[in-house]
Amino acid sequence: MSETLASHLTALKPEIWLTGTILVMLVLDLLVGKRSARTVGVFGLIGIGGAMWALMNQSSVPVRAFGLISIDTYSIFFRALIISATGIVMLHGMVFRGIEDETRAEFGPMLVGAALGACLLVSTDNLIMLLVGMELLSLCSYVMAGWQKKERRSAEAGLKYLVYGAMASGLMLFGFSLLYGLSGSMWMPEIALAVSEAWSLGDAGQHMIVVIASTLVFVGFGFKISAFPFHFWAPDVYEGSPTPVTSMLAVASKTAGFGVLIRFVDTVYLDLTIAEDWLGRFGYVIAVLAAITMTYGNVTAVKQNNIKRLLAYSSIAHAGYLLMGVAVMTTATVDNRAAVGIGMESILFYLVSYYIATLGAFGCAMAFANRFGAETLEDYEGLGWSSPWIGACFIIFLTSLVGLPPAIGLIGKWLLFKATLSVGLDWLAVIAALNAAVALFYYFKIARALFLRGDTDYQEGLASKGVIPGLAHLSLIVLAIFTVYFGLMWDGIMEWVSEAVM
Amino acid sequence: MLDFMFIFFASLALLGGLLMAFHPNIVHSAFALVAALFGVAGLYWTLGADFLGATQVLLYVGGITVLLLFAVMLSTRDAARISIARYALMAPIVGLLGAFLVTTGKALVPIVRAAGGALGPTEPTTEKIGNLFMDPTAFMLPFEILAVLLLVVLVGAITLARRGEEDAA
Repeated sequence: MSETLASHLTALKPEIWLTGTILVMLVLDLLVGKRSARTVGVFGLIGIGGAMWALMNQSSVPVRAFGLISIDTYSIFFRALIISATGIVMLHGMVFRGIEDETRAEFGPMLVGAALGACLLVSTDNLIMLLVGMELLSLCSYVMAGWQKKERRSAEAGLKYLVYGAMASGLMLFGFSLLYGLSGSMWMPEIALAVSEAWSLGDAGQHMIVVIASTLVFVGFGFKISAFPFHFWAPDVYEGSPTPVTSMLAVASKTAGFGVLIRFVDTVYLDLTIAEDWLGRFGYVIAVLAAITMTYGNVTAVKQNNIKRLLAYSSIAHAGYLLMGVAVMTTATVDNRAAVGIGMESILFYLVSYYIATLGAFGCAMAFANRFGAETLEDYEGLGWSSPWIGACFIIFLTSLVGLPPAIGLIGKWLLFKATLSVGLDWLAVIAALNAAVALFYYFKIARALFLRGDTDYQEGLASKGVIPGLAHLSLIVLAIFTVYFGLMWDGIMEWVSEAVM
Repeated sequence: MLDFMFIFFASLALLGGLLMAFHPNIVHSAFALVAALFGVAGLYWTLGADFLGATQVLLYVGGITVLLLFAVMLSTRDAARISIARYALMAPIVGLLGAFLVTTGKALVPIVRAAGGALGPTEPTTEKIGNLFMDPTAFMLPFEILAVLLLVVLVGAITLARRGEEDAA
């Protein structure tokens, strides 16, 4: 008994590191007293490092822990992205303004709590655990979004996120309860059996239940990944939240959302031969949603003037690109099962490229806001010449987000397009290509403001506002180097991704 | 007998709900909500879900409504007229009631069963649910993670709700 408990716990080492980090940070905050923020932050980073180290030492042989968590290459891939993103956000939260000093020590536990929830979310195939993980991630995010309580925008962001998020969770839970009613189980493989039985043998009523339950569950996941039509919270929340929180929401939270969405779709709908007509229609709906999501995100981003809001719309657009991969998985016909793997690989690869470039882009936005108080396109004019390193990094991240060589974003887009064409969704690929052109336009607007506009007198006045800390410089430059390096040598990532899909 | 209990609890829930929606005094509305939620708890019992019924009383009748009353009292302009002490007694009473129900739910179910036909599971559920929460192969992990969730959210709520040092001064 105790031996099995020990083996269960060994499988969850990274999560135990994270939980321990939360507790240590909370106690340290009390022990150190005034000016504890730095100490707490350093210990937080050490704890996240420990979790990362424990994760990297996990074997690729699948293990089940507590009957609810499956530790496999897929979950290791997603948890690696989530935990490392949390580390970078933690660092940015420590060195940049946005999180006030007096509450900085309490910010760490919230951030790590969100990471813990996200890690469990992507590792489980049980709906109860899924819900608990998602609530841990969401509740911490709601609090973090409203962290600057004296700022009206931040308080509004927190409240909006809470109200919409609670509703999405409620609808998702209702979907879960329908699935439970259909199958009598909370375990995804058993739900898959019941769903395929209900679809192939059942009457119109049972078909209805499957459709309603799937739709409701998709509301919950769609909210997390900010897909159309559940995206409406994203611009306000991204703009209002402190920028480190925004990058956490845009990267870790969205990655976790895709992690759980792909696992759910893959386990419940794709493992069995559900009647083709259902899956075909389901896939078609997702393809249409993907097209609307990316078009909406890109077209609305063009009109934006606030950089964070622009990046928020761009993040909606990227959710659309990623959904293309899900559409590929669900439209793959029985005689073209390989397409499922191809679709999954392309999503995972795109997530890596999105992860690096988005963390970097928000990091640059934080740096400029910190140093110059710059938030809008007009504020950005000429800033590239005032801090050329950050400016250059920003250009590299934008290049990757558009999908131009030599950045990793190009490879991600190329894989997604290839996958989309392989299942015959040509129209979706065309829409995505048109979207990339629109994206080029508004990303170029930032680049133009940074380097091609503005006069130097204007900068002299601004330069005294603050500094960009050395660690932040370093983290951004390293991310930029990764963007280019993996854009040229993507074999390592590709290998990692295809291992995760196995 | 079961029919009678169903009608009793269902009408309690329904009438409580109507009263809550239409009563002009918001504090009375909150108390009508107590009745409505209690009626729902009764419905759970008649269905043999003793744990769910007890939780309903403990959390909704007790926690949520008291919270609601506090929110009303602290936010309305004529709050001064409402004495908090008069209602503060409610918290321990409901708490004790809930604790009593959880412990005796087991005994209540057979009585409800004997009174009427068989609806839902015939044995009490509280003990089973408790065992599942402590079973490493069942739901121990979510149970523990919920503890972490409560801790983190508590810290977050306090941080958001407390006044800054300069405000307090």
